[in-house]
Amino acid sequence: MNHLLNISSNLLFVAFILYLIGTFFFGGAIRSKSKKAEGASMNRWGLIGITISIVGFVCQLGYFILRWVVSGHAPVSNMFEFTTFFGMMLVAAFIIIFFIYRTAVLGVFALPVALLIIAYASMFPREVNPLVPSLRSYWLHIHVTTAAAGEAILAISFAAGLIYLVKSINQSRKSKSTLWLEFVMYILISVVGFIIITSIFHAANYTQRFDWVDKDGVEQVGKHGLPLRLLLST
Amino acid sequence: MNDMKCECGHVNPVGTILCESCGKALTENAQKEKLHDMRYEGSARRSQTYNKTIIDKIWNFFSSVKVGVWLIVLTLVASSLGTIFPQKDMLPTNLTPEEYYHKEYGWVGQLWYKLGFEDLYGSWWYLLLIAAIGVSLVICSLDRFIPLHRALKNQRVTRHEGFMKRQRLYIDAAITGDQSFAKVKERLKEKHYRVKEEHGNLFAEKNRFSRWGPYVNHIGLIIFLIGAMLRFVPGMYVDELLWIREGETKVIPGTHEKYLLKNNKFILDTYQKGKDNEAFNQALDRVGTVAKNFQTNVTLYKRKEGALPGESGKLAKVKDDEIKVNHPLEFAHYSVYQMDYKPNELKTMTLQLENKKTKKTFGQVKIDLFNPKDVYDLQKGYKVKLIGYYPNFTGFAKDGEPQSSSPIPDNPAFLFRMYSPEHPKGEVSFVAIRQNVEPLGNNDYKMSFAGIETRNVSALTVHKDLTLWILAVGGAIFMIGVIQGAYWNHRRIWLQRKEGNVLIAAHTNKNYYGIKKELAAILDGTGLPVPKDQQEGKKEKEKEKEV
Repeated sequence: MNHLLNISSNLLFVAFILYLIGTFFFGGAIRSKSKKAEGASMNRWGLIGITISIVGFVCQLGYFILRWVVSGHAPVSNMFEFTTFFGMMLVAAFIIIFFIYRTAVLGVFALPVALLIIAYASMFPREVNPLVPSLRSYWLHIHVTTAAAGEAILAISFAAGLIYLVKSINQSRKSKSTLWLEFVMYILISVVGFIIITSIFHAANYTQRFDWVDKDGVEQVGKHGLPLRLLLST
Repeated sequence: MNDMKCECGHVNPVGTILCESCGKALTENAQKEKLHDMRYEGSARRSQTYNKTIIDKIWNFFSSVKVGVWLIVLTLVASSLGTIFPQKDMLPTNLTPEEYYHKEYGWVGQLWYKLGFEDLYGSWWYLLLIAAIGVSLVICSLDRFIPLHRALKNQRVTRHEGFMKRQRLYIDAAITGDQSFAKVKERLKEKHYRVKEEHGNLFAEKNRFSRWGPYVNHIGLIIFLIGAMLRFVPGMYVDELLWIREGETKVIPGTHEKYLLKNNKFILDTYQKGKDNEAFNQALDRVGTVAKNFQTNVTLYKRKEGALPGESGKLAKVKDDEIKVNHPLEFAHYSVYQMDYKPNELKTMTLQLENKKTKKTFGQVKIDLFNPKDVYDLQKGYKVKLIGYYPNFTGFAKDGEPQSSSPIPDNPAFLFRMYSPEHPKGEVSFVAIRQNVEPLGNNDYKMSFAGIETRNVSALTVHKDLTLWILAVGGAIFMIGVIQGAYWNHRRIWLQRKEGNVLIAAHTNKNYYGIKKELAAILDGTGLPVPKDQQEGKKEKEKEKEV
């Protein structure tokens, strides 16, 4: 059992690395695109990129299946499992859309986001946990997986839409469109920043603790993974 | 006002902008347009035609999409307001809602209660908003669907030249040689167009049903709303909570006293290391205990025909069942779900009469905490009288009277009068858990603790929802409407000959990119010109102006 679980975790790690490598190839694919004619974006870099993505996806699928075998239930039962599954669906959605539209630029978005999501997932407790009674239902398989898949496909559409806006909005002039585009970009960078900061503090095993007495006179303890000193000292 | 007769001979209803049959512009404004507004085919919408009587004004108010959107926004805002604090039915029962909101949320809670938000989703104004959305949906749909349907039904093959000219995709070109439409006709049929011919002119159309998508969608939505409103009809919807102790038999709320349930046993299983999957060990080490199963073993009874409520003898056993989370007990449209539990509630408490000096005891009293006796006789001149019982003791009031906050024995306290041969008039003692007060001076005797009995209490929700299938049907029709309107486009292509020229126009309700590609493929190699996008040209000109 433990043996299978180890293989499963290793497969996830391999997938993580492959997505990282794939990102660079897609980056190369859009850089060398200018040499070729419009529409022929499926160059060698892109071909290698998509191959690596598919191999990564298969590895992650292996992680998913093995973990299912070990735990006996669909591995979408806690934050770690759900978030990694979301990352996997993101890559799956990208692969499907890539074969329809052959746009390498989408890979430059999809793979790093999948990377970030898997990294963020690993911040939650990673062990295989037993199912509480409320999750012991066939809806766990249906509802959670379809929700994650749907969200992932929407995320890819969002990225495609954003890439389109960046390309088509005239950014040499200040307008309502540029303002809101900038707003979206700001939010995106904030999310990335949040993930990076929480990762760093989590790796350093940091917790902020504060005690207080609530309105019923009961002593309460709050724990937080990020420093809140500035807010609390006032 | 009279109906409007077009020069083509078709009689149009009052208010028509483009003739239903030939498409000729009937109003001066429409004649001046560069491109026609084709959204509703220039048909006569009631809301755009009449505005005199009160009925006209109400109709016009509700037929506006803007009004509909505002109604939806208002309902959304109201719905979200209702989630700020818990609604009335979710409150604990030991306080009145007014006290609860004040105590828990201060003046904001008080204001919330005063505004009537404690039962927001059942309030008259909330229901009125929902009803207004329903009315808006019906009127919006009728105002658009009926004239649109008429116009599409009455359209003829040969359209007025002005109509052709004012389509977004249009071309007018002289052709050399006798180009026949035969090849085009064949190609159109290949693309699944339905082609009609009249005096050598062609009219091709496909996917008209896509135009009905929004209206199908609205029908689904209205059915859904009706289903949601039916919850307020008695008997359609039941959602009740039942706390039931082990060994108890209780009437199931919401069943009109027809069904009773006996709680035989409540079971709580946890995951065990060694017994369960060893992969869980690591998680169990970190978290401690994880629940595996909450279960109530029950027996369901039905009151016999003709038996009055309260006649407990006339019960017929229906079945034994095990209620687990996600596995409810089901009978006669009811489902009883495992919801909550309270382990080890006190059932009885045993105390003994003890001489404080000699430590000698003179018998035990076992007090049923739900039905205590007044006097417990211990023989030989010893007797204990229960002169006060406080099931959930919370402290003493200012006048020294002990207080109890509920009839549930969570913290029982007793006021005893202890009789013994030495004290025939009795000594008074107040006993609570880990507390012994002698209010009238020092006693020789005391009531000491000897033991307790406990039992588990299970909380079950009783659920019945006869509206569910209506919601499902409404939701399905809603989705069919969305798909119908979103995944198909209504496309029409007109080809006409006019004095050696050929006129080609095309219209689609969405996706002009798609129809342009299709047109190019159909006309390719036929010698006929491909229609130009008249709007795109305009856009580019505007852009040039901006720069």
